[in-house]
Amino acid sequence: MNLKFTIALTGQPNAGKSTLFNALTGSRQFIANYPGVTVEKKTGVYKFQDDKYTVIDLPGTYSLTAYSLEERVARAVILDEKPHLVVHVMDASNLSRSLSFTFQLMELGCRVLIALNMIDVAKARGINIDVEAFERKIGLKVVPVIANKNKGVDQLKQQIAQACCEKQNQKSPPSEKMTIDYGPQMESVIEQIEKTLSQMEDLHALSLRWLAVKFLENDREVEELISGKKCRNSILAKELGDN
Amino acid sequence: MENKLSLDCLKPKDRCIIKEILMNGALSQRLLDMGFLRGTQLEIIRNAPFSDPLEVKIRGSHISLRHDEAKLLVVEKL
Repeated sequence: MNLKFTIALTGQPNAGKSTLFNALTGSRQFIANYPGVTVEKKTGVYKFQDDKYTVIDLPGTYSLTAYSLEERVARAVILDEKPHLVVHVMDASNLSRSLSFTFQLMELGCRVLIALNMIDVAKARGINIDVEAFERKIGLKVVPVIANKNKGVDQLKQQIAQACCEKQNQKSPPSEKMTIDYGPQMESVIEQIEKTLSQMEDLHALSLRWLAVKFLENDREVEELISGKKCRNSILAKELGDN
Repeated sequence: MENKLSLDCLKPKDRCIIKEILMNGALSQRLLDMGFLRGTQLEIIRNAPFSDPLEVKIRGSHISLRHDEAKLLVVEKL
């Protein structure tokens, strides 16, 4: 089999994305400018069991809003290039700050795998992570790695391959994904906006729930995306009026 | 209970709990990303010379804030 897959490395600044990128791809990477912006998007290639994997190293971001350029770039790559898998590179010594980003990725509707990086640093700080319990709770595959010592990289490639093949075969992820419950008031508004959006056919490639949530956050890009069809005020007036 | 202040009124070594975040848009998003949520505890580490910026410890990380930003965080001193 000679399949081609694309995976994207995302995560917060200093989580070790580029270190992991180099560990995965060796020295075969090159740097390319992403069109229209000054923020660079690096891509590299590796082979695993005869399949070819293109790795995109995205700029480090704290979240995926439309407020800053790097966040817009990271988001655009995920939405437009539709990688088979998004690997969230997470700093194991700072989980609570990383998890909100994981949920943003899940909300975006992409297939996510967690590379739990710097577990040695976490351990030195007295943080021991029960990886199996973590996986069970969050409903995603979690692979512990130490990118700068090349530890766990083979296991990571193995898990990436498995996730990409599952995607290829249209299989759903092994466990139920966790979704954020915004509370009954918000949820009913989100549901109604989703219903309105579902009538707009050209939005169907995107997660309607994500669009609805971002719309409520006044996300400029999402508003523009939707406003081509219907203006914000009329949607909101309708949703809130029904309540 | 009635001990609500803005964060810039506190002194080094003071501990407090975030009660309200009086801002929106990009700034509030970035603070949320850093873990500044209602109910989170933080500690003042120090003021830089001429008092700006202000260094706080939150969820195990040290973060510097401008006084203008700290003013918009309503906290309860512990």
